[in-house]
Amino acid sequence: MNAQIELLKGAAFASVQDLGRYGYQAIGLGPSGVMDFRLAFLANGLLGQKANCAGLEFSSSALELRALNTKVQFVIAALCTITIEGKSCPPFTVLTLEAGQSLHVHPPHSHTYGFIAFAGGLACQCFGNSQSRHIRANIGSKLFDGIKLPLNSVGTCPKRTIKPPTFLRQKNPILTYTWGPQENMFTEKARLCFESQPYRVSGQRDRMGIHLEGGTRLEHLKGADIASDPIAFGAIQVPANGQPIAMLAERQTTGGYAKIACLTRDSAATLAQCPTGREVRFKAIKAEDAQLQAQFVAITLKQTLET
Amino acid sequence: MGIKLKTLIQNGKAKLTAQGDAALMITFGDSADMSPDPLASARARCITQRASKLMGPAALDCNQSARAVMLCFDPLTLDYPQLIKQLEALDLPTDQYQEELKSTNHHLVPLCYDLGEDWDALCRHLNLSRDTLIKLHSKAQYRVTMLGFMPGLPYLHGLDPALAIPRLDTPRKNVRAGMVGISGSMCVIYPAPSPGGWSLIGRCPWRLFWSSPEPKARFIAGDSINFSPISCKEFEDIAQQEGIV
Repeated sequence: MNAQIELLKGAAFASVQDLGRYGYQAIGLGPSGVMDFRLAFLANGLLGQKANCAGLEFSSSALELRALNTKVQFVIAALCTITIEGKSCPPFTVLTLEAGQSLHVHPPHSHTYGFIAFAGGLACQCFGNSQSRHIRANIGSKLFDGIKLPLNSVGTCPKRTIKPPTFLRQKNPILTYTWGPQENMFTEKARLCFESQPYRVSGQRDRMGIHLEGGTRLEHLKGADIASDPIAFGAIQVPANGQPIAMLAERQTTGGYAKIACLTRDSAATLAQCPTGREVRFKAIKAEDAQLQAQFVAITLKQTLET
Repeated sequence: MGIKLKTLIQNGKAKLTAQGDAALMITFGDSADMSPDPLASARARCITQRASKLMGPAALDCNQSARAVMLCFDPLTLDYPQLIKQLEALDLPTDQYQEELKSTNHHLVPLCYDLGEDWDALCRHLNLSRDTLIKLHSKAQYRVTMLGFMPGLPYLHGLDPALAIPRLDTPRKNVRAGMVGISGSMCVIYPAPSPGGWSLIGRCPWRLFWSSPEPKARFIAGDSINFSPISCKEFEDIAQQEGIV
């Protein structure tokens, strides 16, 4: 019989996510997926499984989970308080929940999204090639307190642990981006402001995107409207009010506001992790350097797993 | 005989923009130009059709709009110089008719104009009778330039300029599935209940999006559409068969 884990509390701020559902943007369905791919990579990697195994992404409320019929091994990739039957446990460590035992996970304290990977991965219904929940499209398992989530069967994983990664502790992150595609719709002053002034993560933020506030309004030369075009993960659009919005996992697939820049995936994940009120700055880099950075991030993540 | 994308870039008619480390946008013409541009759309479609081949095993996704197409890929196994080199060598159409002659789907879409909700405002604003409006709307042939805003929602170019109307001052909180809206030079069909600021001229009984077992839409960019006026009774019958609310 398949292992099951029961989500007793915390369904409102959690969702089933893997690395996303690709291949459907042309029909208006965005990929969704985890906000921070690095956590899915590390948590699943500690369990010896590929980064794309489905798990639970969680944020602002405490979770309570219970292993039902058999023991469940898991890793929590977050900086947060974890207890099993009242006993404190570390994150970024392969932990075991015996049948009937309860797990309490508190919200991350200093970043926004955590990820729980389960040995074997969740075995919820796949739509297309992914289990990722997309709220607005109502695709993927809808969680509720009391839901029983199936897990793929797998043998026992060796106990492994790593130090929590430093990317979760960035107090004043510098987020790298490439310009455009509509950077030429902004005044020169706007472009200078964007790459030099500090911004704050506003309270208007969710899995769709983050509104940034602070600083001089970014002015458009003639107006903010464009013939709607595709929106990449990390794209920064600026409507007429001159305040940038970073588009994230559950963004709409197309949009009609000028886009001044696009964050690298790593920087977009870092931005997603910033608590509300956190100050960030932006730094322009060339496309080639953006890709070199991606290589560097991948190598660093692999090395983190191997320590 | 086509024209190379490289030539279009050199002539300032196309622009390549990296989007971070994992996506590339190809824009034809000026993003700020919202007028219909069938040639740009045809060129975008040409790239969409070759997207898998261009990106190889690194391919993740491809999406297009009226004058742009974006390729999404794994940045660890495909770099920009490789991708750009292949793109620049592509032969693109010199006129939109070459693309339009190739197989794209044509749909005759049933539309119950009696279920429209903004007739009074439309007739007043456009200074035309309801019958004239319906005639102008239904005799046009439309082309799907992109899907967006929500899964399965087609944006249609081809609306008669006499029907141009700005968005509603106060958008509706809930537009029912199947409603057909017009705004500016475009027409849309809402696949599911949604807020919406477009003027509603009728309702279509077709399902436009399925999520299971695999996400699928009825329309795709490049499709052509004609509307076929139907009665309320015909609407009920088809809607029941299609299973739309």
